[in-house]
Amino acid sequence: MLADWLTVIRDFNSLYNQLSACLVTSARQPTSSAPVIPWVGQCHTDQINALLVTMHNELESMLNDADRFEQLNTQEGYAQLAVHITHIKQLNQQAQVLLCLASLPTG
Amino acid sequence: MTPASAPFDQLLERYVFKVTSHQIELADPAMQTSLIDFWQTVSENVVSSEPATGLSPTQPTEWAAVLQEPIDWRSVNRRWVQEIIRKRSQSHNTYLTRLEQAMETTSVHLRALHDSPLSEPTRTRLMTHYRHLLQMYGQQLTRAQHIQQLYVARLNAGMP
Repeated sequence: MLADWLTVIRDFNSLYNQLSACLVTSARQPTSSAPVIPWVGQCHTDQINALLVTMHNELESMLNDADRFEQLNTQEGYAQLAVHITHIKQLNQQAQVLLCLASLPTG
Repeated sequence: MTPASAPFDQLLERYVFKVTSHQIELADPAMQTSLIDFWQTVSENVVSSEPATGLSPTQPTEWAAVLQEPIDWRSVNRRWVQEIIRKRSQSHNTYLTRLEQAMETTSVHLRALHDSPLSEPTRTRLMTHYRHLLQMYGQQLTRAQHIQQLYVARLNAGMP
């Protein structure tokens, strides 16, 4: 259970950083400085930005949950953590899809 | 670095700290180590991203000063890590005591063998066995004492 959490949160962190890095590299490319809509591979930067914001917000709400951990018993704590794992997993999958799209050549 | 990444790192560090500190008691030692390792990685990110904000040439306004004031997470975390090391060091002490007791008992057995009515081949074999045991305990003790010194050094280093 805890091992699961550690795995997904580790991925969560690394995927967030990879997506951020994607935006940084796209901003450096001369083509994206033109007024055309910026794309990273086959992925729109708006999509990436939106996901980054979602990930950020989710983390914030999970932190709020974690503030209440002390009031929960072991069983409830595990249940709460299980919910977190599911949320993080979903976001991780979305991030992986976007990263995959971003790695494709621009069409 | 994107502007959002610094707060994200901080949030992540706080979240990981909260979950880890709450769950660490229930985890096995290997898991505890992985948890602490991961938390350390995350908190190092926060530390390394901090100078960027610290280098900001703008004069600290009143609200910035207020914002900087709240809980120093790293000091809280340091205390937490110290607490874990202290607990480990305590249980390690128990281990050391048990090892010493085991050596003591084995020595007693060995001494008792000298004037035992056992026949020769058995006696020698038993004595060799006890000597081997003593040697093994001795090696374990040396290793354990070394680890204990490391714990003590880490605890002393972290003291204010």
